[in-house]
Amino acid sequence: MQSWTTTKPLAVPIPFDSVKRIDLEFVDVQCDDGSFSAYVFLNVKDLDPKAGRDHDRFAGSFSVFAPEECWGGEGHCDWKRGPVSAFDRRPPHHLTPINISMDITEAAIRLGDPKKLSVTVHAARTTDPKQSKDILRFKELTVLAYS
Amino acid sequence: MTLQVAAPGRRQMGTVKIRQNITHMSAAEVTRFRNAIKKMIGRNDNRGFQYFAGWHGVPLGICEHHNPLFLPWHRGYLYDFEMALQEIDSEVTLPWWDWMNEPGIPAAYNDKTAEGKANPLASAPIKPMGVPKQPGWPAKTRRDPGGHPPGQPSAVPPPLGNFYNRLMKSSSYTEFRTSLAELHDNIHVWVGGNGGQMRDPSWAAFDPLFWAHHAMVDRLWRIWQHEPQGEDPDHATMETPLTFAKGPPLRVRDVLKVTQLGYEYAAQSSTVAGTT
Repeated sequence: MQSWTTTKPLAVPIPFDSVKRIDLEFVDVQCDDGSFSAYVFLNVKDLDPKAGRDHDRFAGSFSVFAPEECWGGEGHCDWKRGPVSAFDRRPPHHLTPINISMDITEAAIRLGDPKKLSVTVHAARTTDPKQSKDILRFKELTVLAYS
Repeated sequence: MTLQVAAPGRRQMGTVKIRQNITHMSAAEVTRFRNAIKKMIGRNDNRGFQYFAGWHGVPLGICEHHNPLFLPWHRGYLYDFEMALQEIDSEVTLPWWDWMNEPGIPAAYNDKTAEGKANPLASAPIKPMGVPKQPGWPAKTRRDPGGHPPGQPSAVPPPLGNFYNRLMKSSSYTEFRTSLAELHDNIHVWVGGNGGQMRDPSWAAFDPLFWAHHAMVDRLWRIWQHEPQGEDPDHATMETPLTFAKGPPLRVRDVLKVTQLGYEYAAQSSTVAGTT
């Protein structure tokens, strides 16, 4: 299993008492190395690796549907290859990274009046969790608050 | 009373057929559907089960996920599959699996045997057309619902009804299709569990349950289209052609109305005589 925690807490961008909904958005999540599931926790330290949905700081989960192995030739699953020219109108590669949005409003409310959010993610393949070291790869994490 | 609409491209009315919840179908209806799938699995040409499964995964891999074409592409895909199924039995439609309200996998797909024989809805052979088999390819589909090592993150088991209201309140096509894709991914990963084919886009469509899962996805889109906020995709998406291995050529706008594709999810209507 892979465990990842924000290097510094994310500031809740508006006063919490005016928040109607709050989302986490994982940007450019790579989905080229097999399906996996992830649990998301808020403001927790020294989290037990086996913490589950019943943990009081559990905020939500997501699963990503992705191919296990590349069955094609060399470069077949290389989503970075991009358009061949300005005339290339084909859709993006199947495995282009995706954004994942998660409504954490209820979990944030349970924290009281959080001004900052520290996010911890546990991610693992269901097939072989020992091979999950780098299963969660993404560009950035954003907190979106709606008033 | 059945619903009739003008069939696109033809100067005639067509009778719209109803896709049903597999759990609510009669035993006779399930048997009829199962027999049609069995015959489709037995066809080794471009009307057969392996041919259509190969559009989504090995060898063609032309499916669309995690982008604006996700819902329209799969609607067109199910349409093509259903047409091929109705070549075998014109009264059969694709059933849907109500994973919003029902726990587990429906018995019609889960039972290992049916009428004393292997149930073709429980597992299907994997024989991709037109490509030599490679080492490590699975020979048939299997499932491991909810399977995962203890203490490790896992997908949410159905029913997923807790997510329904938020999904239907989506205020834009982008928000809706993104939220629905997340539920869709979750079900794929849950069914596949530890090494099952449903968790891998390359093999998922070889599992007969795939088609009931996607009929449910399509149904949820249909329901949201009825909502006040159920808007169409943006103009550029509407005009985008959908890529399939054979015709008819369809753009996104061609698949927005399910009755134009010959089916509906709504309940049957009842009618009384008028005055003439």
